[in-house]
Amino acid sequence: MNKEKIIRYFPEKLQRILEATDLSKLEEIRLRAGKRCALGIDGNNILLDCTASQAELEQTMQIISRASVYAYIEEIKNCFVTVEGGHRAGLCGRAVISGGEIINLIQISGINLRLARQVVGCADGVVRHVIGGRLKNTLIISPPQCGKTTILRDLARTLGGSRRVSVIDERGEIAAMHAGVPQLDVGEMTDVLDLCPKSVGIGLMLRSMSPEVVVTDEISSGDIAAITQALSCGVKVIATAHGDNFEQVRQRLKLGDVAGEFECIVLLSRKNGAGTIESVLKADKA
Amino acid sequence: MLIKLLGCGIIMLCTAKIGFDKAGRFTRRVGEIRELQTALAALKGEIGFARTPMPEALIKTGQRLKTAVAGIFSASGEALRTCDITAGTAWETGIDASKKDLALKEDDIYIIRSFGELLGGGDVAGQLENIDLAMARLSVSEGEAIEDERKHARLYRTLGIIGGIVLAVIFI
Repeated sequence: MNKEKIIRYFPEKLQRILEATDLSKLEEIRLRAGKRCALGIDGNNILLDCTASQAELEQTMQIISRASVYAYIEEIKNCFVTVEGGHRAGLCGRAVISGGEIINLIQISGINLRLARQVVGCADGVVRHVIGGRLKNTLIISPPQCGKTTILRDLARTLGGSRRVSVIDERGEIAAMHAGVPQLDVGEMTDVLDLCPKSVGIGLMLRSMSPEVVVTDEISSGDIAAITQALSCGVKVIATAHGDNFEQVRQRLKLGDVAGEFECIVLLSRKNGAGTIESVLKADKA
Repeated sequence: MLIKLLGCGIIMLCTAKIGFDKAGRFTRRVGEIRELQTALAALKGEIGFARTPMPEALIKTGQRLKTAVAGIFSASGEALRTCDITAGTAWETGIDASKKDLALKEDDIYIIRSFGELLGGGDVAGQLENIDLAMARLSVSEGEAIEDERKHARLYRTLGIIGGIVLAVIFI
């Protein structure tokens, strides 16, 4: 992690504290208007002797958004901005609503810069199951915070080394695009459709980029038609879903016939830390 | 006598140049205000249609301009691109770096400084409104600048020439 690049977004007084702090295990930096700044280090919340004013939060917001709120409005509407390096600034403030939809976030009251850490090779234990013999449609299942997206990103990176991979990155967490460039390695032959709903994006990428593999995160029941479309085109699908087991996911997402198309089911847990591979179920269709 | 005549010639040339320079400032001011309006219209396109991030939008706008006004956009865009500062601070940097080359009056500078206060902070609609407001105020300034040019430019040119002649006559 480049310390200089992280701390430059923040007010000078906080920069001075951060310069003198060991940030090797830093997970997040939080600013709340009128409250003490806080660091998340190795799972602990540490309050600093430094208070951020609302004006300083607005200033930080301007620097994070490169004085271009209008250019990042789609992200800001979803309460985040992805910065250089793939780090994500979560935002809190007053939502501006029009027609029942949030159109902007103003009077920023909280900023949480969460540091992106790519774990290269974390999917090595899964790759042989996914690729072994031939590439399989794969569903990675786990409760939140178990490393689904990290494993998925590493799978995309591995597969993207030799195959045409399309990532539909609805929440911008897989590739962490910034100014049109993936900030995290998702593979040399990988195309990324950023911030597009999966239900629309999968079809768009099938037509425009002719992928061999579609990779997408946290599918819901509304995405099943698009996944069916990809499978019917002979395109392999690698996706993640929240859940404890395949049966639960099958019922909740109303997978129907699509359930049988997933030949490799990976279950993750936090038993030995995030990304622990609990089991790999294979239903070989060949 | 020859030296006297040569001296008078130099004095007349100097006073005429001072007069023409003074008059030129009125003409340049009109040109700069017009270019500021053109620049703001271009910036409006970059923000409103292309959604170009502010640093690049300012630099691209500066590249399209010919007068000293270009310096405001280029210097502020470059400051915003390279330093971690707000758009308002970058804009002030641009104005300060270019001010000595500008023929604009303090009133005009005040308009563009005010414009900088809201630069980069809001959504597209807010940014476009800020640009429209600055353009409307510059339009009023343009009218005054044209009137000033009409009234004073010829006066200064004439004063420069006549002043030189008067001084020459006194010396001779």
